[in-house]
Amino acid sequence: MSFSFFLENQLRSFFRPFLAFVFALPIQAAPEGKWLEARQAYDKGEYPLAVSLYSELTQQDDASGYVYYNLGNSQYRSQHRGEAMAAYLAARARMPRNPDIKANLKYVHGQGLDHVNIERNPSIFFFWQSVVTSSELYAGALGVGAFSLLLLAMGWWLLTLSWLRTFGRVGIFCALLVGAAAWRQEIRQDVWGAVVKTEAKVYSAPGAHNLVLFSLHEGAPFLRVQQTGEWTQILLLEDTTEKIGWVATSDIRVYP
Amino acid sequence: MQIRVYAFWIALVGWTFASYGAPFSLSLDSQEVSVGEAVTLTLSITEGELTQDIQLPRIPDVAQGGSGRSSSVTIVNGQISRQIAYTFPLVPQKMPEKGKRVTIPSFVVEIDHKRYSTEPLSFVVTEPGASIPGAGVGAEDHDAGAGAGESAEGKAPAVFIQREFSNPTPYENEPMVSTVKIYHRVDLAKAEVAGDSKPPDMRVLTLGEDRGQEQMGGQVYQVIRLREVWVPTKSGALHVPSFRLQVGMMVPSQRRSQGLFGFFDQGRMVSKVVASREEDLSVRPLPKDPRDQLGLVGEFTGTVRLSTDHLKVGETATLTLKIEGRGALDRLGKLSLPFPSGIRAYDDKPEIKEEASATKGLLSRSTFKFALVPSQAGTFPLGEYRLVFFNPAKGAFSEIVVPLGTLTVDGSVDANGVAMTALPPAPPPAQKKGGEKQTVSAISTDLVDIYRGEWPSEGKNRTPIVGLVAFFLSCLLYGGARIRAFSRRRGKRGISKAQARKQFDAEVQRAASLDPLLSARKVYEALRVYLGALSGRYGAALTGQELEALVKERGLKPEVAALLHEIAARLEADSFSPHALQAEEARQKVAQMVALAKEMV
Repeated sequence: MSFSFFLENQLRSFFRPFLAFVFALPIQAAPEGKWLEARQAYDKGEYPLAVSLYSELTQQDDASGYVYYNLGNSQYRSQHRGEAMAAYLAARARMPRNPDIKANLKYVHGQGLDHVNIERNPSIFFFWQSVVTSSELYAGALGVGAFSLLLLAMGWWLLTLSWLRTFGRVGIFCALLVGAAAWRQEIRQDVWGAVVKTEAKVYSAPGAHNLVLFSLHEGAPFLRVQQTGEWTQILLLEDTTEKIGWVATSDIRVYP
Repeated sequence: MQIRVYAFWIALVGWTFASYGAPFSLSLDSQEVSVGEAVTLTLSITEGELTQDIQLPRIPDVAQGGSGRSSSVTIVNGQISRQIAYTFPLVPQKMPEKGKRVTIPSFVVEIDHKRYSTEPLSFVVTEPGASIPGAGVGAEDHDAGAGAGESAEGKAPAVFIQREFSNPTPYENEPMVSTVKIYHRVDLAKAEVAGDSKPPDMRVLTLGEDRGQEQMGGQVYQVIRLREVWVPTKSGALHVPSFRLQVGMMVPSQRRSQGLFGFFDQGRMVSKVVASREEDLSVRPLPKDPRDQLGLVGEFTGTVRLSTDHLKVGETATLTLKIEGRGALDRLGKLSLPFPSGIRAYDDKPEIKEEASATKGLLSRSTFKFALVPSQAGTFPLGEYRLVFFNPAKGAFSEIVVPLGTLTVDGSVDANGVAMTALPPAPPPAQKKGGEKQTVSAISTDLVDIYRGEWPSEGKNRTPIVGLVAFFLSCLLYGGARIRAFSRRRGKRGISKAQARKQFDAEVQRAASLDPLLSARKVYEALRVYLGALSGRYGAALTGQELEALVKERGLKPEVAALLHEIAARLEADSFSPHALQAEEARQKVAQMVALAKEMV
């Protein structure tokens, strides 16, 4: 257990009655029991049960990337390659640097029939987008900001140490930059999903009466552009080109 | 006849003119050399550069070594001259068929794209065997300068080399011992092997060297014996180049110091290349035998050892097969034994150990290890191993048969009497440290296993509460520091009006009990601070004019400003001229300042 986790739990327990009373915020208990139960089901080979339990755990408002990762393994063992792919993509969104998630994502992607990419082409300026989450950036901005404020406070307390104030001002600037990056990451975050049906037709517009542009097969990953009721606009990334179209929402899985 | 004579003279004159003024010279470092010894041909170029490689003409029965190149620069009276020398060691292999003289024919030298012909040179070859008894020439002694006036002993060669083979007609893949004997009867300051004397298609294992003494031709020689084990890998005629050694010998100086200092004369070092004769060996092919697949030659035996012959399903037994004997076993390679079905075999990398022996040639030992894992119960005869090789001592093929033993495997059952499935096969024995590494190839791939830790805390997409709290605390600290700094700044540079007024009143109160002059000064300082506080400035730092300006800004009467100016002037005058201000006047000024302060409110 990391120190930050310990501190966070302490603060939670300290503020829990206050928050529950004043703001009536629903604070959920950590579902360790269900987590353990799901793992035991997986170990026994009862993969549908494991899928059910892990799916319930994903409903937690603070579900970790590991929950989606284990869900992906359970789905794959249940012969649901598309569901597994969607779960791995959701896990990657929360833990983009985790090597196990990357490995399993690559493994399942390699079994797909469609030649589509599972990540954007690297960008020169926004290379960091694929390796950090907006939460991490916010945390970084707050940390840098807090430290810079601390420097400024010391600089103003000890008036002779004016360099502390200079460093503090530079730190505040950096914190603002990181905060801006976090904000951009949050509003422009890619939402990935996967096809869960054996074959899904992609139309030129929402509605089955429209022209079928192409077909996708189970496990094909895509970027969600927008969703309007029963239809979802998706973007496919290929090596040099991109394809866009509409697919029935029931044919795909996109975890929030 | 006459025409021939004229032609000869014309050719001679032409050659002379052609050579005259040629920017090179050709020389031999010795005019006499014995068979097996080297004489060095040197081509020195004084002007220009070679523009074409030198091709020495073929000289019968004389081996030519690799050429060398050296350059030197000489400065004499400011004149710089450069000389490039090309050296070619020549080693006569046997006595010339006619006479004792060997001639180096004329050859072409191209310098700066001009072609020149060299002058033919010759040297005398002497029989080494003849020189040893003292009848020969002994070129080394001649060059060493030990010959003049000395006995027949001086005619024997100082250094010479012989090469011997334990078996000059070996079979293919049959080891033999090559012994190079370096004989010397003078001290060798240095000895370096010049060039590779190993023939192609030959595997060579160094055996080492030893030293001794031998008497040859009436002379006692120190002998260095260099031994190697040679294994010919191909049949047919085999030409063995000469073994060449560049030696440095210490010989007495030609002008010996006389008297006391002659004792300290250590002589000079002479560098020479000596070489053995070139040899021709005949490597015999192996006779044909349908059983022979490997072409092993020697005499071998085989042993086998099983770590256990009684085990359960899934357990591991190690089978160790050793083949050893006289001869080379490198062709044995990797064994593939046909173990019965029901037994999985994992072979380890074979170990081959070779040991060279001066008397036995090459001793080899190959060890093969197999991890045997039975997957079912029963009795399994492991069969036998057969090895066919050619025995040169018998001149025929031999075969050894090594029984591998029998494994008895029991079925493994659990406490309930239910037969258990076979355990997964045991991994092959660990690679020994330093052994050759093998490429790990994936048999299959699968998902990485699930995360099995506690309810995970990382990887959650949520607001960082700890960061928020830290940021909030830092804001509080920063605010506190700024407030403190602001209050400190006010206390240093200015104070509030009320505080300034309070200070002024306090000074006026104290004035009654103090020296009038001192109290006047203190009241004046407090008045200035008070005036500054009224305008939000630090009054103590204001000049007299600034104070007057402040008074005017506040809309006071000009007399008040003049009064203030007068007070300031009198106090300043007193500071420059003591007693300029009397006590009474000082009290008067204090009273004026009190009135002034009241006006300002």
